[in-house]
Amino acid sequence: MQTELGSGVDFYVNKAIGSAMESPGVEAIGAELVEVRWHGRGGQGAVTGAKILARAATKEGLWIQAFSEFGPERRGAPVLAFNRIGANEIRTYAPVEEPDVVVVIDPALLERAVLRGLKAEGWLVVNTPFSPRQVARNVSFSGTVATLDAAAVSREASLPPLANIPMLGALAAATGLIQRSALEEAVFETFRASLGEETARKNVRAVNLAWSQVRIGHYLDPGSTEEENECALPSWQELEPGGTLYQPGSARDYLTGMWRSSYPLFKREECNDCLRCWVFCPDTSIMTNEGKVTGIDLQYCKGCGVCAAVCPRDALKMVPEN
Amino acid sequence: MQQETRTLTGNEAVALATKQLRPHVVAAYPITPQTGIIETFSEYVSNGEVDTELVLAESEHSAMSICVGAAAAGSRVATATSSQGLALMAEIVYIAAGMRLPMVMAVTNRALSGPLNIHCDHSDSMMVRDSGWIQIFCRDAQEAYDSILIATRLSEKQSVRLPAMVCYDGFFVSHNLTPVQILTDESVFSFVGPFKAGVDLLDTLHPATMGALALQNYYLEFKRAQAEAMRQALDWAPQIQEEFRLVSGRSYGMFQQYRLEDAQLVLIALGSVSRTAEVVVDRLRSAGWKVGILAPRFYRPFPRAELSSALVGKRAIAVLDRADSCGAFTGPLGLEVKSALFDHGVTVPVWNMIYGLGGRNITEQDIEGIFFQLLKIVQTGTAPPEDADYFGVREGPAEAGGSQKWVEVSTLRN
Ligand code: SF4
Ligand code: SF4
Repeated sequence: MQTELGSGVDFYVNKAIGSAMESPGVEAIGAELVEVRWHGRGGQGAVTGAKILARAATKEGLWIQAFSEFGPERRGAPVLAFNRIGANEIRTYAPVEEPDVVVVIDPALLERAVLRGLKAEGWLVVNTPFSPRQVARNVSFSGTVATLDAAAVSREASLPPLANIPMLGALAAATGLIQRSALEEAVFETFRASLGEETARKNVRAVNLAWSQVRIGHYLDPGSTEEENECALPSWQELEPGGTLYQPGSARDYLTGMWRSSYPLFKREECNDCLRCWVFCPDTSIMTNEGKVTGIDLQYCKGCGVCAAVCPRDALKMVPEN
Repeated sequence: MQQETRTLTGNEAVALATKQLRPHVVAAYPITPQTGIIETFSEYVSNGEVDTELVLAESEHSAMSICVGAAAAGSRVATATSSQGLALMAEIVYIAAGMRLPMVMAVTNRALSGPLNIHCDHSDSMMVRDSGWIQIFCRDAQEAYDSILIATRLSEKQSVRLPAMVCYDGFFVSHNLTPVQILTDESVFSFVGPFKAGVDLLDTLHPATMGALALQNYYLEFKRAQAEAMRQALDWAPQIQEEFRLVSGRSYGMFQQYRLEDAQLVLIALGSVSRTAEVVVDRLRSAGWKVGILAPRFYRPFPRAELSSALVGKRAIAVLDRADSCGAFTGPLGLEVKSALFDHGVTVPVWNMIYGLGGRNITEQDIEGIFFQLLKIVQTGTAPPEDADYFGVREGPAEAGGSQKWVEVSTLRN
C-alpha cells in the first residue's frame, strides 16, 4: 500500500499488484470494444507500443486496430497513437473520441488535457514515479489509475530509457486486456526481427518487471471527482479571416521544452562565446548576456541537438533527460 | 463617362487595366500565351507610367509566393499566368485563398500538358476551380479589361477577401487585336479605390502572425469560413457590377445572356465561343428558330439558383466544355449545370460536349450543327447521351461505320 499521502486515506483503494493477471480478454474490463489512446512524443515509441499491443491481441484471437495521429513531424513533438480491441470485427474508422484507456508514456505530458474524452470509469496508465492516488488527484480523474516508473524498469532491464515497452506491460497488467504470455511473445518477435535476440530478451524482461511493479488504484466512490473535459474553441464565424493572429509572440505560450528527450549540457569553462549555438538554435533557447552564453532556456529548448552539433568546442553535449 | 477606344489585344487590355489599378507589387514569370501581359506591363514600369514593384521571379511558384508575401504585407497585388505556370503555382494558389489574401490574377487559358500544347482550353483554370479563388471567365478583350477592375473590387471587399482569377481564352482573345473601350485612369482608380489592407505585416506597431498551423481542431472552421466568403462574393458581385455599369455603361451579370429569354434551345459555354455562337443565333433566329445563349461569367462562385431559374421552361440545352473532368464522363461546366438544375428541380434535357481541347477550333457551322442536334432531341423526344460527347473528335472506322474508304489489303491476306 502506498504511503505518500500518509495513513488514514480510506477512500482510495490500492489494488494488489497484477490483480488482473489471470483474467485476460476484453470482457475483463466489461466492454465489447476497448479503445486505447497513447500519449507520447515523437521518438518515444508510442506508435510502436500500439502496434505491439495489436500484435499481442491478435495472438489472443481478438480483432484489433492500431493507428496514430501526428502533429508537426519532429522528434519530440506530441504524438497520439490508438488501439481498438474487440472480440468481433471492428469496422469503424472514426477517430477514437472516448477511449476506455489512456496511456501516458511521457511524464511531462501528464496534465488535465490527456483526460479528454476518457471515460469516467476508464483507465489512466501513466509513466511516473508517483502513486496512482497522486496522479488521480493531480488531474482529477475518477477512474482507475495505474502508474509505473518506466525509467527504473528500463534501467533494471539494461535498456535505454524508452518507456513504451514497460508501459505496455503496465497497461496489460493493469487492465487485464492481454495475457502476459501473448504480450511477451509479441514483444519478443518484434524485437528479435529488428534488433536481435538479446535485445528482444531484455524487452521481455522489461514487460515482466513492469508487470510486477505497476501500481493500481481507484476511488471507493467512482465518479466522485468528475469535471468537465471540454475546452471551448471558437466557431467558424468567430475566426479571423485566413487565421491571422493578432497576439504577437504567441509562440511564447508554447513550451517546446515539453518535447525534449535529451538536453544540451553547457560547460561554461569550455565555451569561447563564438555564439554559433545562439545563431543556430531554432527555439531561441541559448541565453546570453552581453555577448556571453549564460545557459540554456529549458522551458523552450526542445532538445534538437543543433547547438551541440555546431559548437566548435566541447561546451555543449546532449544528455538524455532523467 | 469619358472613354477612349483603343485597338488592343486581350493581353494588352489586361496589362492596361492592371496598370490602372496601380498595384504595389506585380510578380510574374512569362509563359505563352500570357507573356504579352507582362511584356506590356514591364514597359509601363520602365517608362515610369506606374509605380509598381515588378518582380520577375524565377518560376511561377516563386511568383505566387511573392504575391502572397506582398499581399500579406498589405499591398495591392496582381499577377498573370497560363497552363503549366498555373500548375506550378497551384500549391501557393491554395495558400493565397486560405490566407484570405485579395489579389487579381489574369489566367490566359491554355491546355495543360501532356501532350505538350500551347493553345487554348480551360483545363488550367478548372484544375484550381476548388482552390477558393473567385473565377471570372471572359468572352472577349473588353470583358477581360473590365473584369480585372471588377475582380479587384470584389476581391478586396472586406467581407470577401478572396483572390480572384480573370480567365480568358489564350490566342483567341489574348492575341486578337480588337477595339476596347478604355476608362480614364481617374475613373478606374475612383472605381477600385485605394487599397485597404486587411492585415499589414509591415505595421510593426500592430504585429500579427499569418499562415499559422491549423490542425484537426481548427482547419474545418477555416474552410467553412472560406465557403462563406464565396457566398459573400456571390452576394456582392451584382452590386459591384452595377457600380461598374454606372462608371462604364457596360453591364454584366453573373452570367451573360444572348436572346435567352424566349429561347427554347439553349447553348451554354464559357469564353469566346459564346460570342461566336451569337452570330449563329442571329442567323437561326432570322430563320424563325428560338435559340439563345447563356455564358457563365462567374464560375466561382457559381450562380446556381439564378442560372437554374433562367433555364426554367427551356426545351433542350447543350453545355459546351472546353475542359474534361476525366472519369466524371461529363465536363466541369456540365457537372455544374446538371447539378444546379437537379437541385432546383428544373428538368430539361442537357447534352454535354467536350470540345476545343488544345485549341481545336469550333466553327459557326459546328455550332449550327449543335442547335440542329438539340432540335432533333426535342422533336424525337430522345434523351441526350448521359456521358459527354467529344465534339469533332476523329472516330476510328469501327465507330464511323460505312464511311470506311480505305482497305488495308495486308490484313485481308492473313
Ligand atoms: S538543443 Fe540546443 S539548439 Fe536545440 S533547442 Fe535546445 S538549445 Fe536550441
Ligand atoms: S557554440 Fe559552443 S563555444 Fe560557441 S558560444 Fe555556443 S557553446 Fe560556446
